[in-house]
Amino acid sequence: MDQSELSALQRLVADAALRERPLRDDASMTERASVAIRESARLSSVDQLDIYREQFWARHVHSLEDDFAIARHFVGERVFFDLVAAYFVAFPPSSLDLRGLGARLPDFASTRAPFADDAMLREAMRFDWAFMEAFDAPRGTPFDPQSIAGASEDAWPRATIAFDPSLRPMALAWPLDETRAAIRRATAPERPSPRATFAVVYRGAESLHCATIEAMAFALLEALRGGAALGAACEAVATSHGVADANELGPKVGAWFQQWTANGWVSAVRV
Amino acid sequence: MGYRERHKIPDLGVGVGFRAPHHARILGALGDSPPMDWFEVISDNYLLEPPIPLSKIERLRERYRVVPHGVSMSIGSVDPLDRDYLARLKKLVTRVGAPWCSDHLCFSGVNGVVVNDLLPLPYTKEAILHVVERVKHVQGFLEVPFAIENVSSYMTYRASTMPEWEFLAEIAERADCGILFDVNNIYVSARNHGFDANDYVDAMPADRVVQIHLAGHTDKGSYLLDTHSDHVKDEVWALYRRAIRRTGGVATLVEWDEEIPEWDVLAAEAEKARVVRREEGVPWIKAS
Repeated sequence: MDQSELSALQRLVADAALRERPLRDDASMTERASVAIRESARLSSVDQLDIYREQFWARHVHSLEDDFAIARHFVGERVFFDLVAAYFVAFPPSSLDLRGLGARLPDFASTRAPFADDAMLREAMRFDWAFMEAFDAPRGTPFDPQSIAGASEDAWPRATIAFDPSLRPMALAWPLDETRAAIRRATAPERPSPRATFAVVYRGAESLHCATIEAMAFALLEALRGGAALGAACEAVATSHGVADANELGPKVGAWFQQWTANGWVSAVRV
Repeated sequence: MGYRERHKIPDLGVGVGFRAPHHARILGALGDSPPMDWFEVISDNYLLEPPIPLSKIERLRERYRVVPHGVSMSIGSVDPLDRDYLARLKKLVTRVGAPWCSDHLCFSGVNGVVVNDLLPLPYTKEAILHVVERVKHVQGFLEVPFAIENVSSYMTYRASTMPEWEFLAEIAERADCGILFDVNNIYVSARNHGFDANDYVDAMPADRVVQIHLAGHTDKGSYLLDTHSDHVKDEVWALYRRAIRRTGGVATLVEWDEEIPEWDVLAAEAEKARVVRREEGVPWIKAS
């Protein structure tokens, strides 16, 4: 056996593992397996090779079912498996890490039935993946309250805020935070009715969290994350939400800021 | 002088894997950290991009000896070794002060496709030459002793020209590396392929065994599957007893990665291994 034969043997096994259907259903694969693998007292050549195929699918589908638990819950096992099978044809696993396995799945699913015609499912895919992104985000620096201790009142409108890199604010059309929590409690929630929900997925010290906030707080958070100064962001939010005077937002903004810092969302304030 | 002696490989006693359901307990968040001789960490979890922060390993290290163990090096693949992966592994190994590190004698993918499995190699002279060069490179690069682990297998290649134990031993000898001897994998493969597991244990170059793995497996009817999801079976305990008699005092680890039980169940399984060691005259006494 030279290097090219070793290479061919490895390609056979890898190719077999990625096959969606049992190998014995494929005459050419059965033939290739019998050439490369010795039958045992209990298993044929192709059935031995099929153990690796079964393990591949069990491991990878299980991982993606866990990562996209909401969509998996609503479409069921068969439809989800078909989605994953098509996904692996387009994007064979190329990473040692199962964490990143589903990075392209939300976009991929959005073009396929039933996801293409179901906005809730598409949103669920994006929402679930936000948790993976939050988990994998770089560590931010913790906020130091002393950094703003000497800030003068009139400097605040020019202040800009840096947020923890794990933050994933998501304006949802369905209360998928509740749906996700129910699934994780191993209950079987009904399909949710539409309800605007402003969710922020983030990573705490030891685990992932999702908080829902009011629409104005969400708008301000997004403006500030976009780099706007605090004064300009408040004015823009007041205008978009029909508040006549941006100063009326003051007490609310103070309360939101306290909550955001308590949650660990704020990394730094530049005044 | 044997491999363990040359490399001053310590006998760490009996440890378990550092797995998420037990992190809080182990790191003292629920009271005092429990007694355990040492922990094995899956190195790959700390090498990926973006990396999982090492803070937990740092805290673990403050309390216990830590040894990294990998599942993704793909030492037997015909694809080139991943230099970036090795560079990150070296950093981890250095950071945790590992006395050795290990990965599996297998391939995990080819042509850039990653199957994320421990796929067996054909037991041939050519495969030995292929793997030996790669193990030498890895061990030289990491600058710590490197051990290769025998895997459970479910198929027998027609191309194989020798039993698995000869394949493993010859690679270890030619590459001058250590062996992570997984006695559960031996039992699983022996049952699947119809050889005598005792022959495997008896043929091992005992001085190269730096660590022993114990684990549970699942009977799938027509074959055994290495699942790490249950207690160590009696037949595997018997093999362990036979192995430790040959190797003498070697660090032993109980793997339990699926359906992970309560800490006390896992700790009791480790205690069983300590009992076997004592009964076989190789008790581990923690250095003061």
